[in-house]
Amino acid sequence: MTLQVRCAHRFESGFDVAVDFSAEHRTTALFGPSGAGKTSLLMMIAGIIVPDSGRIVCDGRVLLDTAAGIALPPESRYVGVVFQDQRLFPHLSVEANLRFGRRPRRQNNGAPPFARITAVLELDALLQRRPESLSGGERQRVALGRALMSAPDLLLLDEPIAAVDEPHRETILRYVDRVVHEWNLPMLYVSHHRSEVQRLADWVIALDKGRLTEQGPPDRVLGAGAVVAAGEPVNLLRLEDVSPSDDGGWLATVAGDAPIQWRLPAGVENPGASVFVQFAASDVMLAAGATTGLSARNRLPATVIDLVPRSGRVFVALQLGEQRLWAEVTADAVADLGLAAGTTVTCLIKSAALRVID
Amino acid sequence: MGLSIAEWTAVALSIRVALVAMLTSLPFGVAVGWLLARRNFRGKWVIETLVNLTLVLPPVVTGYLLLRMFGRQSWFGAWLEDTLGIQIAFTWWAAAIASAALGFPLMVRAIRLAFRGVDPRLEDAARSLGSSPLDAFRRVSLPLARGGIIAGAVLAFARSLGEFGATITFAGNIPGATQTLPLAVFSEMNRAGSDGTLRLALVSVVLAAAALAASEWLERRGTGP
Amino acid sequence: MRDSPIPDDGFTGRPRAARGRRCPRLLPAVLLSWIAAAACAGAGGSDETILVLAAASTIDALEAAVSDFEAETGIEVEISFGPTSTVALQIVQGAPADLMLSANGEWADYVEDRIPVRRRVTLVGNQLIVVQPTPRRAEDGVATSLRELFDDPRRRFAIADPQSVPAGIYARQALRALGFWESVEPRLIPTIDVRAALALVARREVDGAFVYATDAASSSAISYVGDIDPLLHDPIEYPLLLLAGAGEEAAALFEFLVSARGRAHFFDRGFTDPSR
Repeated sequence: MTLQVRCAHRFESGFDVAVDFSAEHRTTALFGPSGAGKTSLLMMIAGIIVPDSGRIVCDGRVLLDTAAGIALPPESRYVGVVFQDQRLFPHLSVEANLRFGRRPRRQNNGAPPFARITAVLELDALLQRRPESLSGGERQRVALGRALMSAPDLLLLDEPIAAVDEPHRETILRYVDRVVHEWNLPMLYVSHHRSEVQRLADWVIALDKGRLTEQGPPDRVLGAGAVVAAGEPVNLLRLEDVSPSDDGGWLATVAGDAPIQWRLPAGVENPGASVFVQFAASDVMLAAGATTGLSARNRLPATVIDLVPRSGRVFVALQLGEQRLWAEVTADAVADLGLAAGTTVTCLIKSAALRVID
Repeated sequence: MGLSIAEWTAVALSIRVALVAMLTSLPFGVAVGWLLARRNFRGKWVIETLVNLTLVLPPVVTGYLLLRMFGRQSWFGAWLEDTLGIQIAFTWWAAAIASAALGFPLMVRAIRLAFRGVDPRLEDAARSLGSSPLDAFRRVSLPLARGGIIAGAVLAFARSLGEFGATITFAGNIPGATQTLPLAVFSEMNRAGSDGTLRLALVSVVLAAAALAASEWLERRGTGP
Repeated sequence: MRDSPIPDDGFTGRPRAARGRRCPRLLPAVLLSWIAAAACAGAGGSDETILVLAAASTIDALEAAVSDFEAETGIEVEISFGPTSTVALQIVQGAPADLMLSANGEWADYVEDRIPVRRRVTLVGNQLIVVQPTPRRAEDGVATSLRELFDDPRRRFAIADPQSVPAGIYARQALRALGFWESVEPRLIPTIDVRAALALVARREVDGAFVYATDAASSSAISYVGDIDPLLHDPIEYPLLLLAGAGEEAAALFEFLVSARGRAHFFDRGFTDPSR
């Protein structure tokens, strides 16, 4: 699927969005904090909001081109939407909801059959129920099924797991997984949950304050450097294979060439299979040689990529497997250690400096 | 308690006039109610004022205005009669128009409230599923507003059953043609030594109760499994 | 909420037609009801039927006289009774009436000034009287004269609205002439018509009422106090008008009503002979 989106719109509240990107992958995520404009962008792609100016093309079909005066209404775009609040029709049963979007005529032959959808999403038991009697997770599945039944070319999902509480989130993700694998449907979804994005997306587009900040594969976009606090890079690493340690804490490994044991900070509860940890660049100490007799538990070899001087300090960009790391050192430390692009160093990070985030 | 033929005629005429007035103004009531609930635009206050006009004016004044607009002396009324041979004033059409005019603001009020209570974003969802705007309205918003629409229709119907001032002014008090129940009561009250007033009043009560019962039944029928 | 504000301006390209109409299912129902109503209800004021617009206070007498006429000639007559003011208004606005029976001369003048009138005759007159509630017990204060009734500052009176209803206008003229208007006026309760004033006094809501002799005869709950001297007010007259555009049959009805036989129906009920 090829999706080209260029939009600019100013809302009544003063908030404005201006983006320009194209996505060629099967599953693309729109990632960013609350208020970034992700949902608005989704609504523009769906046709529910018509931006002040823009051009949206999906697989060669022009959905919007304000310059040429083209603005397809939502019903003509064949773009399915799973809304954050599901928006199931309260006066209809689940089955009637599902069948709502079934069109009598459909050009291409790819409409998923009703029985198959209810099987994949396990909706058979719910068919005669009313939306208000369903749980959040059940409603989400019905919304997903309903969108699929309208045989869309592109599926938009708005924060699929936001409305679902913790224990069931994994379940929803599994269902979305199934949908992806069963029908190979191009998807664009909105989320501010790293784990969700990491899990489902082939490509991530990061948004903040209505502007594109970065796009790329999940590891790169979600990793260090993508989140910038006060103009300085903040480290964000993904750790996997979380397992309990002897003293009641947790151990995890960072993905890469060789698994390295990390100790998570004390007091972390039930981290799940993988976690994201955040820590400041100033919490990273670099060592050029052997490292023994030091209290820092977490030590990992990395390669220097770049040196960025900034107001008396130097930020060192390091490559750690597929992820990136930043360390903050003084200018004479650079000279002392002989740091340059390609140098191998050991990074030392105290467990206490780590913060587990979602 | 027996009613004379004239009294039965008035009852039947009242029901017919009320039904016709209610059914013909219903499409407009739904349209205007939807418009006022969902859209904001310059000059909206003009429409709101016009809609509520007959609620605020004394009914006799409304009847008088209708007479001026459609009576033989008006250019429209004169044209209708000369060109098409149609006369509106002093026919049952006039009674229906008077009733519709008086019931309209009540109907719109209830319907507007009903649409206000329906999430407009549900229509967006319907459109994302392939419905045209009209389809989305018909299949989603309209059924969800059903209760309020029925309430509005019943209000208009009931108002029509009790309509006097505009009817007697615009349609006259002609037994068999425009003498609805309230007008029959008026005539009855002017007769010497008659007790028909009470009888007719009781009939009015029965009619009102029947209208209410019908609306309850309609409402329940809609919210089935 | 979570994300950027989703504006409520909706889809800006939505066509106006989206304001939607009621289900097409309803259309046949609407058509059917109109056809049914048209078939059953009379048209009112059709060519062959005579239409008379008359003051409500004449209902009994006029209905009797017209029945007599219909029996005699076989010609159908429709009568629309209403307040005289409404009747006059309707005729001036082009009501398809053939005859008008007004409850006072001024409204007849009003009509005559504005539209062509073929004939006008004062059909009958009436007598204004004052009544009070019939005393139930011997101790109930009963007024034996009009002066006694009006002088008592606690007594209140019902009167057909002296600003627009003929009966009230006459009563006001008489009270003025008698010098009672200032003292009585604050104690007057105007009603929509004479029948309403009658109802109030019959229910003992007021201590007296100005009504016509024709109205008072029917009720045992009221008792007569006194006549209002006809010289104190404009003559009470009920003009009968034959309007332009009326056909021969209407003219025949007119002749019938002004004849002795027609008038008899009125005199039987207490209306007076205007010729005296």
